[in-house]
Amino acid sequence: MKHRLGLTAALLSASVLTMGATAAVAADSGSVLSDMSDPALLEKYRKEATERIKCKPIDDWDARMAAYRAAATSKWDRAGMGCAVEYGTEAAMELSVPSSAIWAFVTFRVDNIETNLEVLGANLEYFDVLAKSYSEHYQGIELSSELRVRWEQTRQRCDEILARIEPLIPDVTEARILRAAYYLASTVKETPLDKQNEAVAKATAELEIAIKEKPDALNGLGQLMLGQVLFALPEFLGGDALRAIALLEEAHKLNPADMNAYRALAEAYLGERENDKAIALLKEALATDAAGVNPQDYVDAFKFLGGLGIRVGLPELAAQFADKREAMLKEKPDLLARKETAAFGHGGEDPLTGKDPSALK
Amino acid sequence: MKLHLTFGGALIAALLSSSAMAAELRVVSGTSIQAVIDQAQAGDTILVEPGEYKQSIYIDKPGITLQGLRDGDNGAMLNGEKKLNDGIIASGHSVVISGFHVKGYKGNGIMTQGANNFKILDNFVEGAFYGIFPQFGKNGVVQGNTVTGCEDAGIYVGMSDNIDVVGNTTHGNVIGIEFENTRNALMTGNNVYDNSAGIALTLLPGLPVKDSFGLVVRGNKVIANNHENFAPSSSIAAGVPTGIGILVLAPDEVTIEDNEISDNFSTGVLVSDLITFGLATDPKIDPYSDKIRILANKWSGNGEKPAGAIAEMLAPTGKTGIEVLVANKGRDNCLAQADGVDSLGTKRWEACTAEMSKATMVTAMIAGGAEEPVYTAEQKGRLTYLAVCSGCHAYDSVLHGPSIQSIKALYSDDPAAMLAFVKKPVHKREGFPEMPPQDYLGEETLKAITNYVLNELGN
Ligand code: HEC
Repeated sequence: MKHRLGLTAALLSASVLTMGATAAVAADSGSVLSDMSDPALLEKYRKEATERIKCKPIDDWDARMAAYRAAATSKWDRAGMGCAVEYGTEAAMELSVPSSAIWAFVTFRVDNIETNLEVLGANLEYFDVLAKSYSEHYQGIELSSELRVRWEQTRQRCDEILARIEPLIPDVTEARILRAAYYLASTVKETPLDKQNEAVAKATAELEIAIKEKPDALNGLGQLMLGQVLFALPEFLGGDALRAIALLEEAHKLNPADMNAYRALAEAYLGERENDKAIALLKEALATDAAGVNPQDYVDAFKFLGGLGIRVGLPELAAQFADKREAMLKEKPDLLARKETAAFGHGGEDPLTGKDPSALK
Repeated sequence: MKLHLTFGGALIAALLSSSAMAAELRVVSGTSIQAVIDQAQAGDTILVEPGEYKQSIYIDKPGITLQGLRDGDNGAMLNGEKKLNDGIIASGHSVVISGFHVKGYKGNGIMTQGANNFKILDNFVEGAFYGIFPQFGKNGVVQGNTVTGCEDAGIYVGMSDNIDVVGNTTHGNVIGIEFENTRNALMTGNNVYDNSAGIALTLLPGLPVKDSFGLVVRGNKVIANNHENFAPSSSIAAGVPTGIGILVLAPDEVTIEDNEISDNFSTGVLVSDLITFGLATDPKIDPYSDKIRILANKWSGNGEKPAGAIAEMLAPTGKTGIEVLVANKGRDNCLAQADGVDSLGTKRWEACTAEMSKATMVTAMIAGGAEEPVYTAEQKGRLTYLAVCSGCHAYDSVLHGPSIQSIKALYSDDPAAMLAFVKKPVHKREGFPEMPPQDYLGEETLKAITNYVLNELGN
């Protein structure tokens, strides 16, 4: 099974002090935001969101699987992809999964395992789609309620699949890596800080095992995740920037079309003030063949990598990223350009110039 | 006595000319402050008699001084009664706002937006979200105010340059005083206690200003900032760890000197980067805190009982009593090696040198003041939408009010009707609160906002 997961962008936020982790106290100072945290109001919006996002039931297994395949990678369509992964999960749950890998071979059910892992992977990617749907600063209650419901539903779907493939983990490194990915991806949002930290610790331990067991499993996804975690952690908590870079380089080598590896590795180089290496990597990324990448990942990554170009003082490089990105957005108008708008005095364009603060030109 | 005569003559001439140009207007207790502002000329002083004013105020003329008068225990009080959104919004340059008691507003207490050369003096602000909030300002001073009860920052200087924050008291806020995406600013002589975090120097992602540097925090009392974080859980401030004296999150060139930093239970100073906070989402921003200089300060009793996020962070190390906690890959940082400063994460830090001291710095403001550009209608529309409307409306979702998308759908062909609604809203939607009237913003500004919303925002 080939990995084409976009998880790792979300993992950039898997960190020790995540801002916005749910606090225990609710304010009652009369501010707009404290009005918005009234439990009855939250419950009302939650109910409405749950209704609004319901997917049409599909009875037939083949039709479900087809609906899954049709939209499971439509990262620009939060609703459509949400239903696709739901159909895929329902379909996968009907396949019997043997309790050991050997038994799977004996009973010709290796495909069933693959399907379950693939659907799990799609759910994990969906976490990333959701994480990217949150506004940079504040979102309204309607959107935040929807995202919360979707987040919990995705978590539940993953739990169901994981419960079935759990017994295979000692034999199947891919499953181990996906479980680690689940720990990380599912706790990026909607998770209290202690649980996030717990998840990072569990994932780190799993990934250390996995990359020893089978270094090329899922094209280096294990190294990509572990590298990001080790880069994010402070040294006194086991962080290790140099080892992180080595792991990210390995991940990049194993999967040169992975946009997230470019992002993570370029950011890590810049963190170590290896600007020359970062710039060389950016140039390499610019040449990526768009055909091999999910188009939404492509435009998202090019926005980020172009921004790094601006940070390192190469506006011409940023402009090249912008051109390719704009061409893709034009070719596929359904893709999300992700323009931020303001809430609570934060975000949106520069009021003096009217310019989008994330613009690359 | 020729000399005397010239002197006297010049003085009288100066007095005459200033009184000829600048009038002194008076607001009678309880009447409309806005009505008097609307009549005022640039340069006028408006004295507001003691009394209660349940109003929102907007100042967009230059050179207006708005001063609350006091008579013994009675002062001029602006009361939003938890219904109105903002107390005072000012975008006129050289505005002076002083002597008010501001309370009960749902958004900002006192905000300046795009105002240069502003002064916010001697006010008392209670709650709610941001207390005193200068944004997009050059050359200004916030002095002698007391701010309490804010769910975000009490005094919040955002995306501004050359600002002095001097001699204020902030307590009982989530953050006492914050410099956010701000450049060249001095914070001195402030009394900052009993907030969740005392002082925050931050560089946040996704904003038009992509850097923050030249910040001096000197001679403040930063004491016992251990208040429970009462920010609503969905807010950015909810992620601010409790029990921190000073938080440094990604700015460069920061000097922390001669402060009294004591009894902050999690840590005295936390220097971090955006990666550690999960906020490294803006590629244009350098996420690290570089050139942070922690010189001689008075330290005592910090880090004794770490709470929340800091407790989580320190648990695996088994350490407490940390005065300077560093989770940051920034460079060129230094700590004065005074004895008794327990630090963690400072392995790569150097010892500060004497010439780094900013002890003689008097102000961060520019001599001669900043330029005072006249804003276009477009700029005004964007600025005021951001300051006022975005406090209750988001683009693609219900916030307090309906989404802008739905508003655009209703009014795309009828800006006049939208303007009429915004001036004097009528209650329409079940399950929604009433929108407070925005007529104080004036016809011209409301037109600019309407135009911005219908023709630019989100397009
Ligand atoms: C204190 C919060 C608050 C602020 C500030 C605010 N609004 Fe509203 N707005 C609301 C609420 C609540 C509603 C829904 C009212 C209803 O339906 O009864 C609303 C509704 C509206 C509508 C819908 C009108 C209709 O006919 O359905 C428009 C237009 C509008 N606001 C524009 C603005 C503009 C422009 C600003 C800035 C000048 C602004 N609002 C500031 C809370 C606010």
